[in-house]
Amino acid sequence: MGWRKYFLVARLSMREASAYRVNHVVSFIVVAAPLIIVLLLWETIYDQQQKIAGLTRSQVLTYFILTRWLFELTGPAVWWEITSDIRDGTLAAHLLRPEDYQAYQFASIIGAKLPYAVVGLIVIFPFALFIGEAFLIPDSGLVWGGFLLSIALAMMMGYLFTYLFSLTAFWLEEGRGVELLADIAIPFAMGSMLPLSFLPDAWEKFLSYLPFQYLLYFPVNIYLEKLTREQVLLGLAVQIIWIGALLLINKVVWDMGLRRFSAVGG
Amino acid sequence: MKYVRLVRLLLKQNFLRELNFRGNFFLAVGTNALWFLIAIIFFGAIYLQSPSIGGWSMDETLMLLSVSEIVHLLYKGLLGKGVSRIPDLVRTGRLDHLLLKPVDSQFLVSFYRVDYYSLISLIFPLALFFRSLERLTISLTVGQIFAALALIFGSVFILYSVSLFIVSLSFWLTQVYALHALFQEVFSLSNYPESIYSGLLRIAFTFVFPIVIIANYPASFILHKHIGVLWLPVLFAVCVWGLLARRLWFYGLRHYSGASS
Repeated sequence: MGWRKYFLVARLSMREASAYRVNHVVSFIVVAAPLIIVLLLWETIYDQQQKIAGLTRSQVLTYFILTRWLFELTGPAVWWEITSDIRDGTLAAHLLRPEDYQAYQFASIIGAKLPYAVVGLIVIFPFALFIGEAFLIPDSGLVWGGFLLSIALAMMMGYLFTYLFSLTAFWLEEGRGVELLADIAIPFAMGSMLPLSFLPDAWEKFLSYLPFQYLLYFPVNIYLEKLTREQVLLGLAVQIIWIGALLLINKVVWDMGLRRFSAVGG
Repeated sequence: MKYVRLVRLLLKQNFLRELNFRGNFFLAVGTNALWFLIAIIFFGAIYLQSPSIGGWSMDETLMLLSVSEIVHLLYKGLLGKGVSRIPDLVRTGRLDHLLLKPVDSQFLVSFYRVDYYSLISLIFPLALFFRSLERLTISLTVGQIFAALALIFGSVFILYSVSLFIVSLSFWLTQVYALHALFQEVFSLSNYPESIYSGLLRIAFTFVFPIVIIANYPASFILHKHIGVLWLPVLFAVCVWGLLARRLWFYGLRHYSGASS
């Protein structure tokens, strides 16, 4: 019973997002168009070598196409709806409703992102055609299962980060510093600029302790069949642990923020 | 002469304005520094694994990266704010106010606000530029220095003209933001070595979307690297894009009916 209202929120948000199909196509083209130049760069880098940093040409090209799509689904951001709810006080109206604000925003954001993801697949498709046979498609159902499961978990993690970053609005009048972190440093740590195996060993090791690679690098590595079954299972477990930890952190931050919020209001 | 005085006044007025928001300084300059640092790490990581990108060594590519950043920051610092404000001016009708002034309208909207943060951020690519120059033991004659500067400012002008052309479409289209964003995304990749483009794509990225011209041409000239006919495409892009942008701007103004109607 408790879940039904959130499904409804997700469905409404999905319907709303679907109404802006053309906008979605345009904004995804904006995200994807530079990909052609990125692919040309990597084609050139692989001119002289078969394998670089443990990746073949096909794997790298597939990596960039997939991450471009997946980033839109799992990349954390500062969510304007949440920060404005907090800053202008609209949050008070939400608090009166029999809903959990975190779950409500989750349903709303996921609902908005799913149509976007479908549009994204259509936009990405020509790029896969562009590189032709180099685009890898795993034939094992198990790989696909692990990949899809890790995406689902990554989306939850990504959302929990989004929520956490947005909650900083309780304290910060202006969130540009947080946005800076979310827009530049975190995408890099996720592996969106280049596969983390290209980095010096010490950096790669350091980044592997951070949660961010589980948002992008890990799922795509499952897809590229770079991981053993044990590594996949371990990674999925780490994702689940991070989700649990983030839920706890968010709860604490939310409670702290709310005390501050009511202090301002009262 | 009038225009020189105007630019001086605008510079001063902007400077005083920025002094009111000193907190932004570290954030804005920090953002530019962080982006630049990530770009260096990006190429550094590639060269860690591969000795060359299509004939470009690491130091050469870092030189290219610094030139590309210099061009982008100069554009952003001198003209970018004015250009990206145009769609808003048109949509809200506030453009009326500017058209009344007895000054060339393209000049006035373009030099609207100097972005000092971008200009200050020039120290990062300049540092890399001189470091690369030293490591590659390149020496330039006075004539070559002037030629390089001409190529760099030519690139800034091309970048400006293409931007102005795109935002001028806002006289007809209500949403040019996406197009403008797309253009910026693509042009931000001007720091990739030109050798990655071949065939039709090379022609397209030289003449239609001149991203090869705006950084690779000045950088290749400084590096004494062969890039084919150098000046002709640059002159072509400067003239064609400059003219197209100005034409479209005035054509758009005729189409523009102002806020009152």
